Amino acid sequence: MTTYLAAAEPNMSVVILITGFVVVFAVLILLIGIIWAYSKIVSTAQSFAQKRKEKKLAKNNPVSADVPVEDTAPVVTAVADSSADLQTIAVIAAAVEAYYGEGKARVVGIRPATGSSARSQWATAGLMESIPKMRSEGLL
Amino acid sequence: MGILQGFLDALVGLFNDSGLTDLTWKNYVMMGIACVLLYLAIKKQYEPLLLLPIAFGMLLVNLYPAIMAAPSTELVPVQQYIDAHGGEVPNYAVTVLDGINYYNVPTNGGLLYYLYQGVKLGIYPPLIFLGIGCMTDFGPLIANPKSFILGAAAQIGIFFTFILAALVFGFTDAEAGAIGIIGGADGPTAIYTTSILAPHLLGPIAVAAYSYMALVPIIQPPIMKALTTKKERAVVMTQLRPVSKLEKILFPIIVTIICSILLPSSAPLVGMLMLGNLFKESGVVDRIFKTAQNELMNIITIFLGVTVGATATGDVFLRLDTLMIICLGLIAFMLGTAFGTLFGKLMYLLTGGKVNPLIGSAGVSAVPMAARVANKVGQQENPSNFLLMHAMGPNVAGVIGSAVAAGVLISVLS
Repeated sequence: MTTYLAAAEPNMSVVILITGFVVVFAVLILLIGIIWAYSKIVSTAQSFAQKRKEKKLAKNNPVSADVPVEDTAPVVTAVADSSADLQTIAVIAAAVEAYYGEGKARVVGIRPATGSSARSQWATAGLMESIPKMRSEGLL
Repeated sequence: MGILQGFLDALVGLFNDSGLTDLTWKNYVMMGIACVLLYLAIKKQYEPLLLLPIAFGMLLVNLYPAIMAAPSTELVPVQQYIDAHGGEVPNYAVTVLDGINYYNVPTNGGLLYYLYQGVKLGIYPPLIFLGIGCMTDFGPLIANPKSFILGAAAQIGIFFTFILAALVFGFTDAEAGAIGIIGGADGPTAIYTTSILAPHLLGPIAVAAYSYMALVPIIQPPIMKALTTKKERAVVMTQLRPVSKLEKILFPIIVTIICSILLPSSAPLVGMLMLGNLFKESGVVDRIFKTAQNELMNIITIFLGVTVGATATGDVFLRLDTLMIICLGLIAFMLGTAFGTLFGKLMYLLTGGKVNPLIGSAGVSAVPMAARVANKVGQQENPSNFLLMHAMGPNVAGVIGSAVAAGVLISVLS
């Protein structure tokens, strides 16, 4: 490449410009394709594994398979059994009250933010940056 | 009388050794610039983690230039040396001048000279990338790989500036490449590329690159607003899909393999970035992950900042070339922002208005400042619009894009 460019001295800058465009776009477009493909493969494999797991579970325990998990296990009850959890709930409730003001908010449930409902760190950072501004503008 | 004379001689000696006799007007101008940068870092908090050590390094080297002095040899007459060292005969090379034998006595370099070797040998920038990798979440990019296009588009400024610097301003191709890389808005990449292509321009280029990174919130918004309509800026993008842990673990491995095979020159930067990210995502090396993103990153930032600042001596910095580099750096940065935004507009049109073009401006690296600026400008039109996560995709794609662009320039020009 260097030899070729040295031979084409007068147009070298233009050649580098074109080479730069093409290579940067080509490499990144290739990465788009690869990420897209492996994301598909990973999600397909994971959903397949999940289905197999559920099938296996249903086979081993036919009664529980008939009853949806959401109906029988409310999130708060699951964590409120031990005294340590009760203390945690009390702390969260106190923090909520301190933030919104006494009697202005009520905690009706606590559940871990995991899976698809979890907010990423970047989204949380955005939220933290925006809320004070929105409050000051009276939007909240 | 003898004591008084000795005292006066000592005072005269101290005065002659002081900066009051050694320093030139250029050093004083540079001290003024260093103080302005310190003000911006402390009072305005423009990238203080970098600007503060850079400014202080600049101040220090202009007060005491010998702090960056390279080690050298001093010629000392053989007999004089032996007499002064109690008859000890050293193992130094001997030079004969006018029939007199001289020892080549080695002298030590200045403190910052030794620390600067990490910059000169291209060691610090990849280590900084290691820390950046530890702190970067590539989730938004994996969830929306099309962001890579915006990361690539924002690198166009690098190559246009290269042409401008080479054909209009008369820089050599290697110098033009090093100047153009400022448009990537990525300090470590700019330093790494310059240390290979044009080491003599390291001071001005590093200062320009970091200054423009610090000035992202001032430089970018007018360009973003000029190139987009209110309607476009108010677009609310749909929530990105969640990304599984396996995808996040595979990402750094795949990117390293692809980039290193296709463009080996980009391997030190991309490889270290992805190694840091693999530390983070694998979840099995918690101790080294924490060290890389905290202690190591902070130590290297101090060394890098101070020594880069220390390259900006009056003689090197106060030249027409430096002013041209600073102007070209600004042009590169503005072009990068403009092309990123324009490609964002293109995606807005192609997707039927689903993409907010503002996120394109985050394609210049400057993580996460550029993404935060995109979020902020978007919220000026629609306060309930959270673009930060969407802008992080092009933002981290820009880091990879600028490393790839650096690899291209190094391969072609070095």
